Amino acid sequence: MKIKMNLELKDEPGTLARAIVPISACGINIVYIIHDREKKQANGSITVQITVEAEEEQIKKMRHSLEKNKIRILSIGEERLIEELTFIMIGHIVDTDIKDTIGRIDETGYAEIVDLELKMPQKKKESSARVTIKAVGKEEVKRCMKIIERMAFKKSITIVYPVEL
Amino acid sequence: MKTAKISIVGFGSIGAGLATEIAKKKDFLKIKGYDLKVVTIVDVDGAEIDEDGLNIKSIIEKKERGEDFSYDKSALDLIGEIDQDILVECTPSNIRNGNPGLNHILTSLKNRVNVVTSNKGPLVVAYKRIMETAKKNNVSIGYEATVGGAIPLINLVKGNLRADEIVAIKGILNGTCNYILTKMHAEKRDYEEILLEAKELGIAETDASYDVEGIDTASKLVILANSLMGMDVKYEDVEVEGVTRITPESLDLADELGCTIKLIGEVEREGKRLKVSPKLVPYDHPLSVGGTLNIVLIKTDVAGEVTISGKGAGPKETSSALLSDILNIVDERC
Ligand SMILES: NC(=O)c1ccc[n+]([C@@H]2O[C@H](COP(=O)([O-])OP(=O)(O)OC[C@H]3O[C@@H](n4cnc5c(N)ncnc54)[C@H](OP(=O)(O)O)[C@@H]3O)[C@@H](O)[C@H]2O)c1
Repeated sequence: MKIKMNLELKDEPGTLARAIVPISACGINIVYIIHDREKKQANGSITVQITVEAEEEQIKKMRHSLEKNKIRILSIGEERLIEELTFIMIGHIVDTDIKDTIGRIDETGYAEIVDLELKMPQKKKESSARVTIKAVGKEEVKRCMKIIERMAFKKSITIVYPVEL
Repeated sequence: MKTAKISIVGFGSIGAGLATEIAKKKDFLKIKGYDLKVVTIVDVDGAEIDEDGLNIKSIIEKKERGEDFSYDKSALDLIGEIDQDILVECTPSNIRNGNPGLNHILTSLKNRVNVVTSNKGPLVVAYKRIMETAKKNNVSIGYEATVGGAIPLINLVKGNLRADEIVAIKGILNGTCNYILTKMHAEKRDYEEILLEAKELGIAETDASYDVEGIDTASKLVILANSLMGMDVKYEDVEVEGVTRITPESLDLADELGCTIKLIGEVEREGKRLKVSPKLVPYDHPLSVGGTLNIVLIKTDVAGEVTISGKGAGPKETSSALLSDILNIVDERC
């Protein structure tokens, strides 16, 4: 189960580590962390967003140990892949190792490739692929697009996105 | 009856097309209260001049016979010499430095001659300078024909939508690309084959790179952003990708989603985003038009989305836009 939570931390050195240690100590896998020190609360504290992969029991334990460490959980909840993006890639896709790109999206922890269809021409020409990704939110879809665009630029691949983007 | 003396600079397909329409519609325009006289026609090889109004038919025949024009004069020579109300600039587009069109336009405005143009180049490189020069000399410039051929886009926004703020503009602004993609999709054939066919049919120019690489669409976006959205952008601000890499397989993959692929130009005021790129367009989307058609979706703060479509090129269709600018100027200034 993927869980996203927002924690309130004091804006001082070492505070992020103080939050992470009790989470890891419960044997929980941290998928990703968004740590924006620019966004301060009125009381001067900062919010860090942590997404973890954990079982019910582990979560209970984690809540407990965060409380003991005086770290406030502002929100916590299960995360689902709700946003979808389908696009087409054109280029020497096979040669440039499509797995690499897919791997990078899957590794983010907030998005997955859910469908991939590759079409190769008969002649020795560029191939085309249709990729569908699913992510936990709109913001995460945008981040995936950045990853895709960086890869496309490096490997000289054309990306055809939906017109509404 | 309002009378206007017109000079046409650049007597290629658009210049000759406009002259033909003016001659053909003479009576109709007179009923509407306009008497348009073409007093000079200038090409690279010289000029034809008649302050009482030229005989268009005989000049077109002369050009077809390959004969030189009667006077060895350039457009710049004639601007100060011949009494004229409106100079219509139809020389080839050059988006590097705007010339020869830019020079013609600025000289004309400085001599207090109004300008109507179909030439994108000058507006892409020097929009601000042109507008300031027109204002300073108390003359007008119309450029409806530079974007979207017959589609009354610029005058629509500047006229009926003038109380609205334009938030974004998105559309298909190049008929050649639209033709190629539509054909590739329908016939499942390669880009190269269809391009060749489009050239044979005269839909694509011999050197089609300007169109297929998205340069033409990007130039039009720059004009729309600067003139309709109050932006201050240059050609270099546009991210451009054309249609040259689109494959029949990619169109197949799109089709399976209920989509096709179109070359879309888009400008968003927020974030100063200008982009030309192939996009997936659902069949039931307003921008899904085929063949050589152009289409533009305007997003405004009050009206919401307004979409208009029509022929984006061709001498006859473009003449409609030129004539509309000409008559606006006649109403206002003559
Ligand atoms: N074709 C369309 O459907 C369309 C639609 C909208 C806008 N436009 C724009 O309208 C303009 C004209 O297009 P077009 O299709 O008519 O092009 P075109 O057929 O190439 O005509 C351009 C004409 O300008 C002449 N010319 C070149 N330099 C000149 C100079 N210094 N002084 C006077 N005349 C000069 C050319 O003479 P030579 O041929 O002897 O060099 C030619 O006759 C272009 O800027 C184009 O982008 C075209």
